[in-house]
Amino acid sequence: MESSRGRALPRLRGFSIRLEPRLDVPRWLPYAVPVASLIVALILGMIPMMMQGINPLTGYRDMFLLAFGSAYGISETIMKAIPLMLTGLGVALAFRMLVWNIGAEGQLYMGAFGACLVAYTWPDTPGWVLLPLMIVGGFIGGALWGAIPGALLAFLGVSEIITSLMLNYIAIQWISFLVIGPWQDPTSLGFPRTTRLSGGATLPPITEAWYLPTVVFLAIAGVVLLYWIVRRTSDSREKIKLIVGYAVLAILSVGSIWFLSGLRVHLGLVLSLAAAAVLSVLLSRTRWGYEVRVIGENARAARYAGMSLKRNIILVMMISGGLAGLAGMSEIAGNLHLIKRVFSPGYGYTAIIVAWLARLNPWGVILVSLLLGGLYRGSDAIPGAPKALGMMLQAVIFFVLIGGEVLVRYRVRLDRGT
Amino acid sequence: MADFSFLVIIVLSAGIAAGTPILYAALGEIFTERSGILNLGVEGMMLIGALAGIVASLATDSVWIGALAAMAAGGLLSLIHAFISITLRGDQVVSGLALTIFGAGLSAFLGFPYVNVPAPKFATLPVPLLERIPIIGPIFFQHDVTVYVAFMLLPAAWFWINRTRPGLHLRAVGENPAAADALGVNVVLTRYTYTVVGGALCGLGGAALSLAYTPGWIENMTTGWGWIAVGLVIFAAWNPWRAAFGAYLFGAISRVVFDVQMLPTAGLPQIMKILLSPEFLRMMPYAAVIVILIFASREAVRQRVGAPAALGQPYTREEAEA
Repeated sequence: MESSRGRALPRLRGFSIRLEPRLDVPRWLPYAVPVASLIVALILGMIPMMMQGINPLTGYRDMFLLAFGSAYGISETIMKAIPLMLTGLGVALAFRMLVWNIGAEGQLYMGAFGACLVAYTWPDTPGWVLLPLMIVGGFIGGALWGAIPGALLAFLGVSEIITSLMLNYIAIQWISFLVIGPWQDPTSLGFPRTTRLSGGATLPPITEAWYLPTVVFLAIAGVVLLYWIVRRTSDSREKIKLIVGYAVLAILSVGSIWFLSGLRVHLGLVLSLAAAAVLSVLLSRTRWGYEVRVIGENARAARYAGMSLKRNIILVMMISGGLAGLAGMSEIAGNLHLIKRVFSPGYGYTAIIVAWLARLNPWGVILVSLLLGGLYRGSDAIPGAPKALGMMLQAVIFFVLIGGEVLVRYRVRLDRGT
Repeated sequence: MADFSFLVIIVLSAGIAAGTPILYAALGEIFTERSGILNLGVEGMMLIGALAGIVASLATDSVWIGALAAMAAGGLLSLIHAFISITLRGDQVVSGLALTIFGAGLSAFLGFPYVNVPAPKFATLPVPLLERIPIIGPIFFQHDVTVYVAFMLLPAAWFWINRTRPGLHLRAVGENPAAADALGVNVVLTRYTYTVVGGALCGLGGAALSLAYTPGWIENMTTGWGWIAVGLVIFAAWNPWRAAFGAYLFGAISRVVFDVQMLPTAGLPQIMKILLSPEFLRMMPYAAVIVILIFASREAVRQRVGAPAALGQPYTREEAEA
């Protein structure tokens, strides 16, 4: 007979495996599972590599060295990670409310469109005016594109999964239309690309000139933090957390200027980190963040508590799309400096994996993006279809993680047959 | 006038040819969703099926073995989704998305040596006698075998779901697994079976693409058709006949888009030139999916037809609410 608790799985010679819901989850387990998933996935990923006649061990070594083996490699990895961070943050926000925005790719393209619309309209504006306007333009471009599936879901109940995905293809065609039509560079000899952005419209790379503003920023942040700790915080654990957080921020920001100056990494990194910080505060400290969490966990309860599902769905889709739009803006203004036909290697899709691996946590998104950015960069080391290898490995990691999450929720038991 | 009817025949005939891969995938997804499992991995399974079809038919020189290999590959891939969503009770949306990304990545990686390699394909095989019927003949009976198999599969699928005992069990498992369980239907086995059947049909849909409609392998050759199939299942209200209507309609749209590109645009106003540019025309099928889903949602509210009640929900005996 099957037990009343837990479900019996197929019997193995007198044994049966049962999944029992865990009553309490060990604190370390939710963090151990992604790490273990990653390792298992890398082992599983060896199979297709061997099928293509690649030695997986030297393959992984080459990938790691290319992505993390030198300052230049790390800088290039961060270049790939920046769009992943911004799209990943957007997707994570939507997923928190169980709104399945898989249109980050299209929202990224429309963000690039919005930013470039600003840049091409006022090309001779100085950067300190133009760049903020481009950021706004990019955010609005992505937000409006995200608002379409949001509104369709909120008002008509149309599945946002399908609509947001369909809009990806439409956005890509729109960009294609622009780069071989009205926005094509007349000097490109028919090559499908737009005119190069003016100097004021590009996100500057990190240089030693950044030390001064960074130190000023850290000083101001320090004063604010001190005020906060003295006046607003009574819990001593909280105080320690804030101080440690500040120290990490200071060391990392000064250290990364020292490490990355002279390389290609640009202001988009700061933009991503700021977005993560803002999102993290919004989600954990505001009423709105609370609403998003409650709606994600129990939409019916949220409605009874008087929260507006419709408004929140549209709002979340707009912010989610806006963040993806920022990714497009930063990719164009920071990395490519012009629009090409298909300029994203699927960042918006990888964002889904990033968000889930990060357990929908904003700072987790930053970490995971660096890791998957390394995968993008590293797979260039493998001859033949490098992009595809990165994509496949990401998906394997994703699968193993989903499977691994079961270990967090359930205890697996082996019973002798009865 | 004769010219016009000729055009209509061409468009409808081409619509059926182009709609066939989508139809297989949509039928597969109908089976899967009817059992209560939402598998968003259609696109990935079609891609793997398309590649497996090419690889196997190149190896054996038989398109039939290619089609079987495609079904096996699609079924195998769907088994991952079945294990995660049925046995491990994972999130079905997330697992399906993972399956699509996995299928796209794996097929692109393993398919790299096969890009644009000439491969065998299903030959056009007009049905004797029937092809001579005016209008009907050219529209329905001058295709390759994949199209005819789909014709036969359609009534079979409808009959199986609505008029047989296993079909009744299938619907019961999708609507109310607890009740089905109480009546002695094996919920887990049923869901596994139909998830794999659905995966095999998606794989076959991929093969109908790579071995018949657009022969040969290119990375990401399904270009969202798997997702269109998922959308069509909603539009079709989980009914095979309506899915066929939708699939052939999309086939026709994608074909018309192709034809309209050939029209001369000289002398037309600027706005028309823009709307008739290849890029805008290529948006049309995707935009049409959105429009059709909007109408479908209005109709679903009015007629109270909906998804299988237990769609997307894992079933466990002790947590059953019934």
